[in-house]
Amino acid sequence: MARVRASHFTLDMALPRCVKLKFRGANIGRDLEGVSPSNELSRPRRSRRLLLAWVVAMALLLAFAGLGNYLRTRKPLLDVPLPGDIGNLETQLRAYIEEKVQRVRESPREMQRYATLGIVYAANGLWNEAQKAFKNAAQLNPKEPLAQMYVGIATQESGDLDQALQLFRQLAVQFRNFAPAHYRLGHALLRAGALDEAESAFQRLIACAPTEWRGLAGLGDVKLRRGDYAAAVHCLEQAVRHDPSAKNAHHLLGMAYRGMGRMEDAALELRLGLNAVVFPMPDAWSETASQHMRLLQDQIDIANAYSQAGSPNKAVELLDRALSFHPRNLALLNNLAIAYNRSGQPQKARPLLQRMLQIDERYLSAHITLSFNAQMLGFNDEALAHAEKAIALAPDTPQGYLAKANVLLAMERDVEALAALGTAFSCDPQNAEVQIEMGDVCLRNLNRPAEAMEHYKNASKLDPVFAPVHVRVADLQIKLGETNEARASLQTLRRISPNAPELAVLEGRLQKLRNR
Amino acid sequence: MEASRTSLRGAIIPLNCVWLIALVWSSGLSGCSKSPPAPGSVPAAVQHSDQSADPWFEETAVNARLNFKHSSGASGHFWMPEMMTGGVGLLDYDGDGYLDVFCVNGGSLDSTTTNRPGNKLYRNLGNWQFEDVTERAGVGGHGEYGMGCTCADYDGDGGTDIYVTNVGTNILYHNNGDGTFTDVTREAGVGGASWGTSCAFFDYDGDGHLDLFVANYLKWSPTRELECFSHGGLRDYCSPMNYKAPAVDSLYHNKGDGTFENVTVSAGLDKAYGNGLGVACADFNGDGRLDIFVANDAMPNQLWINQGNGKFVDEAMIRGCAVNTYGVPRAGMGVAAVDLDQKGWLDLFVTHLVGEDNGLFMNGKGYFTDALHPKGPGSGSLPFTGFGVGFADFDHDGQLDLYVANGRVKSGARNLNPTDPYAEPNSLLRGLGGGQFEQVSPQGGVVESRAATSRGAAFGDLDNDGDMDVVIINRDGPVHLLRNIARKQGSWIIFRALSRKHTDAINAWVRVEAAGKVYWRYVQPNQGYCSSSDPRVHFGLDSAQKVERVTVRWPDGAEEFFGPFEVGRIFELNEGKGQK
Repeated sequence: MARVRASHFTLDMALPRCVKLKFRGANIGRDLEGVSPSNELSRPRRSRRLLLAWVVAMALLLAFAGLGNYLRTRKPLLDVPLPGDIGNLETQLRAYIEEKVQRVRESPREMQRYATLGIVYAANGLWNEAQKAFKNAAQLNPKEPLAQMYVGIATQESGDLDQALQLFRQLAVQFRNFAPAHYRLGHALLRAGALDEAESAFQRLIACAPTEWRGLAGLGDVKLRRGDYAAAVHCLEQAVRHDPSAKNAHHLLGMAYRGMGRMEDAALELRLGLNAVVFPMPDAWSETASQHMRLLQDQIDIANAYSQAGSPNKAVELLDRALSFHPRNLALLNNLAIAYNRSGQPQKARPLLQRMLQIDERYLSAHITLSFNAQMLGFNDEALAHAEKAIALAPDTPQGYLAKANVLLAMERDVEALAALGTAFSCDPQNAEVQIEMGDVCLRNLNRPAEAMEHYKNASKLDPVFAPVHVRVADLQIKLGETNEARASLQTLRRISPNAPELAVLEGRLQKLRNR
Repeated sequence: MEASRTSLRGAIIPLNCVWLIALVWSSGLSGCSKSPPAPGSVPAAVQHSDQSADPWFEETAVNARLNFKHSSGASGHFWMPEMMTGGVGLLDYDGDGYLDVFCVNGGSLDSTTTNRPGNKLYRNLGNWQFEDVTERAGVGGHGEYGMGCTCADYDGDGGTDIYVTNVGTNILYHNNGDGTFTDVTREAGVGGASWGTSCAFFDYDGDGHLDLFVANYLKWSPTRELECFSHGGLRDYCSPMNYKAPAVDSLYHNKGDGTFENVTVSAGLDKAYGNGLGVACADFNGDGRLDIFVANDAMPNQLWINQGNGKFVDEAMIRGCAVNTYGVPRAGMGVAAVDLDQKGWLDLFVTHLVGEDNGLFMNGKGYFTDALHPKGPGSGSLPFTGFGVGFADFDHDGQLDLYVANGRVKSGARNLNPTDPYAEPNSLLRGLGGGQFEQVSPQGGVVESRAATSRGAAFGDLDNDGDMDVVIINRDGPVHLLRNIARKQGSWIIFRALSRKHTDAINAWVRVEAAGKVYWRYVQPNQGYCSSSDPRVHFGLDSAQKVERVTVRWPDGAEEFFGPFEVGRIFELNEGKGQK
């Protein structure tokens, strides 16, 4: 990158130098024009003029050579890709694209700016434009593997899988130690059914990035497709050891166990792999992508991810920025209000929620969020009224009952809260989290440990790999002095979530109990 | 007991927070990638279609006076059902030997609308002429918002009946045998109150009476609508996941007296649920009992394995047809249960959203594998959103071909049809054998590629000329009636398998041996998306001039042999009249 800038700078400097030379040459010419050729010129004067002419000629020669070299080596001025229908894009996205396009135009030979523009397009689903931007980036710096890789990715996303495969093949040869290239190539080859070549790509990925689970998972996938289940299990068990949260690898491992007839292990691994999302191998560019997402739904999703990861202030910041572009969008208003609630600023959520009700008095989400909001502010009666309104609007959905349970708990009407949770569960009988909440209410508020255990065990049946269930079960078993049962629960917890932070604490407590 | 008070935490589930944030960049890997391939771009399959190639179908709706025009009732509210409506049924309601066409309309979800377009029944007069007999037949509906239908003789009286799914109460029309139908929903007890989509009649308990399964999509009402946007930034339809309100499907047991009992809970079907759209009922694990596969939209599919005691257990996960090969749930729309490798085990082909391939779950003795093959039936599907689907040997070369009705659920930045932002061309793939397929040129097999928002598609021989025609419902557009004009590569034969009650033997296997080859077909008209096809089974026979032997495995597992048969004709196979 630094080298590109330096080169660029030199070329820019070359241009004025040429201009100066040109003008100087002209001046000299004019000088010469002022003197008529004459035989009367003295010899020394003549030789001086010859010398001067020679110098000028040499200077011109050098200048032309320099110009030629400049023209030959300078970076081309490329077309900046722009969506043809940019006027139809979401306002915020349009403004962001225009800003990034302007940045490219300000420095049209800078590879990094095209790369950023490409990522902006890609992050917002505009793959055709992304492909052009990445191509420009690759042309400006052919030695940057990411640029070439992203041309391949954009080509793949645009639907031309054969061409993408060719690009990944070239990339893997040209940049033999560039791990993401082998990842992309491996998967493109798997898709093309070229198992032998895919196997080599994943082996190369493992060699380049030994701690990366995706190489082992890819290799396991190849073995699985060949029906070599034992070899697949060997690779995939290593993959999940590298990253116990790698759902894709768990799923593949489950299929491999199934192939071997180990159905119980298979069921557990398939459960651990359920609802996977494919996260391609990260790289320096992909890690910047989420900051360029400007589609409203994406921003809402990112904000929710922030909130769930314990950073609601980031969610507020993100959604507040979007609000200036979408001031009457109910989904945005609701999510921003939720983010304010979660960040401990319920007073800021309130006007947003009231604005929502002004727009649509029957908007279900507004009543649910308002219920939580009012409860946080201590307005329990109002909170209950909004929960009831939500239930009236959608009596077959759990959210209204959950909101009601929440406010009843705040009012210490625990038995009624438990009943509301029960109704919520009947609306969503697959929801293990509601069973956990019911167990918590029974245990902590009503001091009914047996009933709590029943709810926790129900939750465990609904979602056998949901770690918080096993944490609670083990915790309660330890409290009740059921050491053998607690040990079994902790074994399960260790298997499904070996990095669970509660594990060590619970094992310590169990050990103490056994030592008594 | 050390315990501190609790307040709700985990169970606080805000609406709208649905998608996990993942920058999912890699086609075919991304089960729920939010970034479709180049939204709105003209797919490669369209760009490269060779318009000079011979068409396989001819659009004949206008000439045939099949003038149904679907209406979603879209009025700017972006109510979710408007995007999903549209099914079609092929049935011989008057017993004249020709398939008639029942078209399901959306209508209007706005309670203030008074003049709602209803469903239509068209009688096939032969010679590619149809007559609108809706009023006389009494099947137009009562202003319900229609989704799909299934057609079968549920009471064994010889007349094919119609069950229509709606947003709200569904309708069962009993065929009176005189060209009219009676709405018997209430008496039969099959109304339901959910949002029904695809449905199927099948005899799950082997008592000789057709039971009824209905897939339900969402718990939805206008008050639960949300605001969502397309990639173009305009207001658009939401993903079902935005609502967080999947619905439990319904199973009705036929009591044999014209009434049904809702056995959903006792059968265990409330134990798992998703956003159900596609249904296929068949014996998937070879135990002789009929199972149920449900394709769910953006949630894991269900495979309800029949336990034989009136109960079902969802085994989709362990049997390998719940999610894709990486554990990612896809947006299942339509489903076809088809024996692709002709070995007597039904595979599952599911159509999906743009950016996800249409998926083939290959059945290996009851256990499925998500088959990724570069030339498989899912090839070329990445740029499209598939709904209706059907396999048939359209050109009689002995290989099953594939037709997929496509149409977006979100508008793209660029439109393929200036008046319809959701329109896409449909796909036709020629079967090459060995599980391989290739795109047919011209795109969709028709001379003029007709981009529309296609939903349900039904397949059948409408003129009894021995080849399979197609009827497609297009959202807010005219119906497509595709007459098969493909250049034929071989001979054909059609069988109608009839039970002892002289009703279509739904869920029977028909195995044909001809010229050293073996062909398997399964009698199950209720497949695809919200649609019901020809109950007869059609075989393209390549160069065979005679069918040596036909084996029928009836739904109760008994086998009978028939034959030999001349090719080029339609035959009945009557239970009890073959050789044991």
